[in-house]
Amino acid sequence: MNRPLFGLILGGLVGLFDGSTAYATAPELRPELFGIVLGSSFKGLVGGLVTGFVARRTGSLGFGVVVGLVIALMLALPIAYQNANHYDNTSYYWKIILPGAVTGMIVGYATVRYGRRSEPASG
Amino acid sequence: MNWMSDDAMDHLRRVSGHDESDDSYGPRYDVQDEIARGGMGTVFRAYDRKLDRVVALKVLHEAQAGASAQARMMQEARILAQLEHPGIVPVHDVGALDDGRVFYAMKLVQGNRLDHYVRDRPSLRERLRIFERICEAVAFAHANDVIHRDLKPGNIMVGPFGEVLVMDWGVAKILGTDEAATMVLEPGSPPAAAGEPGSTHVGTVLGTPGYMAPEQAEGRVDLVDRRADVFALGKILGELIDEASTSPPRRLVALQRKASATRPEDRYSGVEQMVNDISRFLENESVSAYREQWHERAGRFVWRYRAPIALILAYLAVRALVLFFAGS
Repeated sequence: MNRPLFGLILGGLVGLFDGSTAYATAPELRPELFGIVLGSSFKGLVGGLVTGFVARRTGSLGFGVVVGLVIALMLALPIAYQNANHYDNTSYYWKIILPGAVTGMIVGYATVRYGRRSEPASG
Repeated sequence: MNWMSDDAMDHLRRVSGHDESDDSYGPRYDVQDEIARGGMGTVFRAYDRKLDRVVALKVLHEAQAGASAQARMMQEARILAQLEHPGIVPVHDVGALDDGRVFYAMKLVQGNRLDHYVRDRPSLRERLRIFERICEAVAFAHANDVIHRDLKPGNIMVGPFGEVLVMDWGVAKILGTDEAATMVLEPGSPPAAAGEPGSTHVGTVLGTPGYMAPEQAEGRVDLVDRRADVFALGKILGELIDEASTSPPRRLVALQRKASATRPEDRYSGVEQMVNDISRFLENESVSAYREQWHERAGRFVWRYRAPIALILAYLAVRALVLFFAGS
C-alpha cells in the first residue's frame, strides 16, 4: 500500500481511537463525544494523508516520526486553542496536544515503516 | 616452492601474445608483476594491449605443465566462463604459451582478501552482509552444478564498495562428472589423510586444510557435493563471528555449527537454505538451525518492534496521565 493511502487509513483509525478515549479522560464532554470522535478521526485522516505525501520518498524512520509530530501539532494546536477558550480551561492544551503529538509520531513512524515508498519518475 | 625462473618470465613476456597474427600491436599481454601464487598456477598483473586495460593472467606452473594439470586449468577457465555472476570473477581470454602451458586472462580484481577487509570492520551486521553476498555467488555456482571445493578467506576478494568476488576455481568440480584424482594442495600445507584402502572412488585430496569438509579431507570424492562448500562457508562464518564478537547470539552460533557439522547430512542441504537463515537472522527473525524458548521469541519480538512498541507505550502513558490529572 502506498504511503499516502496507508497514512490516510492508519491516521483515521488512530484518530478514531484517540477521540474515543475522551469518554474516559474527559467525562464532562460525553454529550459531545460524537463530534469529538468525528473531529479526531478527520484530524487523523488529514494528518495521515499529509504525512504520507511528505514522507513518500524517504527511507528515514526518524524523518517520518518528526513529520508526523509536526503535522499532528499543527492540527491539534487550533483545536486545543478553541477548546481552551470555549471552556476557559487551559488544561485542554496539554490534554489535546500531548496525546495528539504521540499519535502523530505513531502514524509517521508506521507510514514510513510499512507504507510502500514511491520511486522517483525516470527519464 | 616452485618459483618461475627469469628465463620463464622472459619467455612468458615474449610469447603471451598467443594470437599475434590478428593484431598489429605486438604481443597482446605485457606481463608486469606477480600478484599471487597458488598450488596450480601463478597470477600476474598484465596489460592487455589489444583492449587497453589491465588484466590478471593465471599461468600454469612450469613444473605442473602435464596434461592433467592443463586440462584442469582449461576446465577452470571454462567453468568461470559459464558462471556469469557479479560475485564470480569473469574470464576474458584463454590461450597457451609456446611451451604448451595454458593460461587465461581474467578481470583484475581491486580490493582486499576477505580476512584483511573485515579487520577494520568490527560490525557483525556488516560482516554478515558481506557473507550473504559470498553465499549468493556460491549458490549461483551450485545452481549451475559447480562446487568450488576450496572456499576460504584467501579466495574471496572484497572491493572498496563491499562488492564480493569468489576467486580461484582451480579445484572446482562440475557435479555429475567423473573426476580423475588430482593433487592440488596449498604450498606448505601438510598432505591430508588418504581414504581407506579399497573404498570406492577414493581420490586424492583437493582443497585447503581447515576449510575442507571431513569427507573431502578423506578424499571421498563420491561423497563430496554442495554440502562440502556449505562446510567451508560455515568455517568462514565462524571466523567472521569470532573476530566480531566475544559472545555471539545463540541463533548465529547454531547456524554456524549446523553449516560446519561433521556429517554432511547434519548440515544445510544447500547454500540457499544457509543464506536464508542468515537473512532471517539479520532481519531478527527465527532461524531454522535454532529452536527458541518462548522468552527468547518474546524478547526477539520486542526488540524487533521496539520502536512502535515504545511509541504505543508512550501514548498509553500520556493517556494515563491525562486520565489521572483529569480525575484529580
